[in-house]
Amino acid sequence: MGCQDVRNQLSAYLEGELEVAPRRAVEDHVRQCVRCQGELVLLQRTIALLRGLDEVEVPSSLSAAIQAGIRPRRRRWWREVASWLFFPIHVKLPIQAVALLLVSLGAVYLYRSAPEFSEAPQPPVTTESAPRSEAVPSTAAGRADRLDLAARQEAAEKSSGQREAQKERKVPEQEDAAARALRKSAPESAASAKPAEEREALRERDIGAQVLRKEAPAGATIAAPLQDVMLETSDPARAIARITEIVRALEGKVEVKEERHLILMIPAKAYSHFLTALKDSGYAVSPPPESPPAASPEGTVTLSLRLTP
Amino acid sequence: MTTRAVISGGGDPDHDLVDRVLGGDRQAFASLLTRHQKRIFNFMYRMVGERGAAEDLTQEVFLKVYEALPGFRKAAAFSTWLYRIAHNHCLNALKGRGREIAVSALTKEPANGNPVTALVDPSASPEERLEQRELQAVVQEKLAELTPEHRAVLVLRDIQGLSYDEIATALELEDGTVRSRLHRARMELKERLRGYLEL
Repeated sequence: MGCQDVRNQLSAYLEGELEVAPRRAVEDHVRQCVRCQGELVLLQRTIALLRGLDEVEVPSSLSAAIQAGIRPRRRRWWREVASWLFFPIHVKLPIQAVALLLVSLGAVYLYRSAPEFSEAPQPPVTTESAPRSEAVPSTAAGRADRLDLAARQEAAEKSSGQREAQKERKVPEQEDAAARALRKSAPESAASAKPAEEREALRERDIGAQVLRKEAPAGATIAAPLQDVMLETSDPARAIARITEIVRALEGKVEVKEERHLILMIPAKAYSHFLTALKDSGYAVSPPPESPPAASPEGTVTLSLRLTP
Repeated sequence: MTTRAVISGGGDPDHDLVDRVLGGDRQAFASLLTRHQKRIFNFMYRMVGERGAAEDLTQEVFLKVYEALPGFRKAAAFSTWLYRIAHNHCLNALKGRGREIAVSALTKEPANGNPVTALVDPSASPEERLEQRELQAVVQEKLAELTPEHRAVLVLRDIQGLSYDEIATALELEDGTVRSRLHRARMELKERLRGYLEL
């Protein structure tokens, strides 16, 4: 081992870090080499000088100055929240994931098992039907609307009934809001849907001249204009019988509206025969009917005949 | 005598203090200061050679440590982490302030006012004590002539007594690099002190 090699090992040698063989090699060389021995001694003294240096005293003001310089440690609010929510993250995050999964499964199960969640939302029947039920139209279109209304209400009540049958309601007295509101706003509908229809049919058949003339739109229900005529007679029953006989003979129809009020529907082509037969029977109508009066598209002449004493 | 740094690894009692500081306990920070300020102040003093500058740097280091505490991962001892911050801060300061600190402080510090008096043997004669004080001043002066990198390993190893592993961690160096750098630094200082060491 040469001098330079030995000098490179001196620091490790003094630290006691060399293995047995290198250490002996250094020691053997130093014993024989005065210069390397001198270097070893100088290095020893250098290290001893450094290790002999003691600590310097800390200024008494240092600690206070440092503590005065620090600001109170305030954790930002979002750090506090994040810390509370997520930290330690390896503990809280798995728990939160499992909890989220359980809640999701629970929601799905609840949705599937509870019919009120799976049913489609009810159409706003009440709000739509309420204004319709306020006005009772007398036309065919109005009748259709009302029939539609009745059908909706019937469906609503049926649906409500089904729900009540399916589930034991916790609050059975709470009726379905839609059905209740429907009944309230349309009192004549619902259970009375059929009578309402019949009444409407009767109303259509009630073709009293005054009413129809005032309320019915022209050409709506009565195809042909009515002819108001008067007939003087002291025996209304006999007159009605005779007139009925004549009209039926001409293949017409007679409706007795009141005791002295008849509606006559006479084929237009037989109208003159009707007048002749009437005259032959000793009856005269006033004012004298137009000849020929306006007929319906089916070829029928309609007369509103009132018997006067 | 030189006080040797005792740096623990696992079960570091400083870790508990760090946790308390992070929880807002300022008293815990005061405890950390008490435990480490002397060590850091001495490191700074040996690095810059002036008490005032060492005091400033020590204060700056601890303020920096306080702010950086949330980032401390406890993978190493708190003291090692503290030394790393101190070392980096010191090197930056020396670069930033130029050689002003190193040269002026290390050469103008009066020997009599130098607190480094441990080498002075109280039982020695007045001549011997004067000689010892002068020798300490010379050591400090020659130490300042080294590069900061060489000075740092000498301070940490021969003055403060850290292990090679601790120095490697604090200076972020390989273990072998620490050993070779330490040897070169010692040999260089020996050469600079040669005239004072030879009998």
